[in-house]
Amino acid sequence: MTMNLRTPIALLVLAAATAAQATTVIYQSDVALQPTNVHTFVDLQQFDPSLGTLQSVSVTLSGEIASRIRLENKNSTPATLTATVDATVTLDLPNLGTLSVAPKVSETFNAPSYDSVTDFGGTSGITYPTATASASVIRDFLLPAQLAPFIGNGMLHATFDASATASFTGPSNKRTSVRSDAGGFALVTYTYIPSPVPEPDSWTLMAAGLGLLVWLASRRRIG
Amino acid sequence: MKTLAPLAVACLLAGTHAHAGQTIASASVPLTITDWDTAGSSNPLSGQPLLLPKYSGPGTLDSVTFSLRGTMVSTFYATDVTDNEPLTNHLMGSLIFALPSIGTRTLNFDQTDSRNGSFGPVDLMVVVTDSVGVVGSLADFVGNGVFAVDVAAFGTSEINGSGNYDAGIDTTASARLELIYDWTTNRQQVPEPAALALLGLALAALALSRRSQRA
Repeated sequence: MTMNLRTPIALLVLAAATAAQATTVIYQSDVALQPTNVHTFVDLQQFDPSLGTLQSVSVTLSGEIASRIRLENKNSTPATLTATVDATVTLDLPNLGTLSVAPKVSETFNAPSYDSVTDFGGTSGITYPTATASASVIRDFLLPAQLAPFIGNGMLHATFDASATASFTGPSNKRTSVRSDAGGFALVTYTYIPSPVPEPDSWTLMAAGLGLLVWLASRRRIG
Repeated sequence: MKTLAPLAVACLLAGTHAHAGQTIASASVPLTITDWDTAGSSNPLSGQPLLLPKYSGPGTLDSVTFSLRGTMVSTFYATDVTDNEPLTNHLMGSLIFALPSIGTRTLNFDQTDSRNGSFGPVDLMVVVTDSVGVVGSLADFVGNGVFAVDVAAFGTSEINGSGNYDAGIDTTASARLELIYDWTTNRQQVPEPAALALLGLALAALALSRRSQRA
């Protein structure tokens, strides 16, 4: 009779292990900073369907711009020079649309009149350290038709593009120089309900429990 | 003969007529690197002086007109270090004349030029003209000597485009200011001998015809 009481407890333990609970898995792909314009591909790990049932996918695009700006005022009068680098970073997901961000860096230099040396230094020139900026955007996919391309055991090929446009304002006697690198990363988050299959550990635990019960029962009988 | 007297007076009066004339003076600044403004700002304006003479005769000053002409030249060059991305050269600037009795008058310069990748020196040149008359009292323009008109030049030309390039812009401007004095003289003219001879001939003809009528 004691065994009849203990069996339901073991079954409850098993049920708790398989209770439906949303879980997430995240994959990231990086694009290293490189001179603009950038045109490359990003491979996003697909969702392994054996893990469970995919509920939603969220894709994050982070775009980064790094620019080195140099300015020289060649006016015989003091002047304010500004430099702005506008980047556009896009991630094109086949059949799912395009994510786009626009990081931007800018510098302002209040320059005295030309110091007679064009060296991006001295009093009328300046060399800024690399300035960086990043921006990100997240897009969620919930519809079955949108989720389908993410399911599989391979990669989802997305196109990563980054372009930069530099603009300078200020006096019309000047020297300007700009070098821009762009990069970033794509991040995919899969939210899913794990399959109702107990993991091997649970089976081992139950087998051990049952074994113990059997052993106790047999000992009692012998006793 | 009594009727002839007023006629002769009228003929003599016709010899008194108004004489109109125009005196033109000009001053200019040759192509000079911008900006022209020693104070480094347009307020107060302190650019290059243009010296113009006042009106000193010979008659009455009727009107004063300023004719403005400005030229701006920007030389652009760029080295695109990555690829042949589009670059836009944009000439922008202004010449500001501080005209007496009128105030400031601005000529604006604007022209764009698009290119791909690296390019050597490219000149953009824009010429702008304008004309303005003085309304109201002209007293300030009458007299001897000269007066100065300040002209300032400001350039804001740009090269924009790719994210990887070295660029330079050199800008010069020139200004020319023409001053037109319209005047009239209203003095009695001495009748010329030919006109007197004609009058004499006419009188003689009249006298002759009367005599022949009497006869």
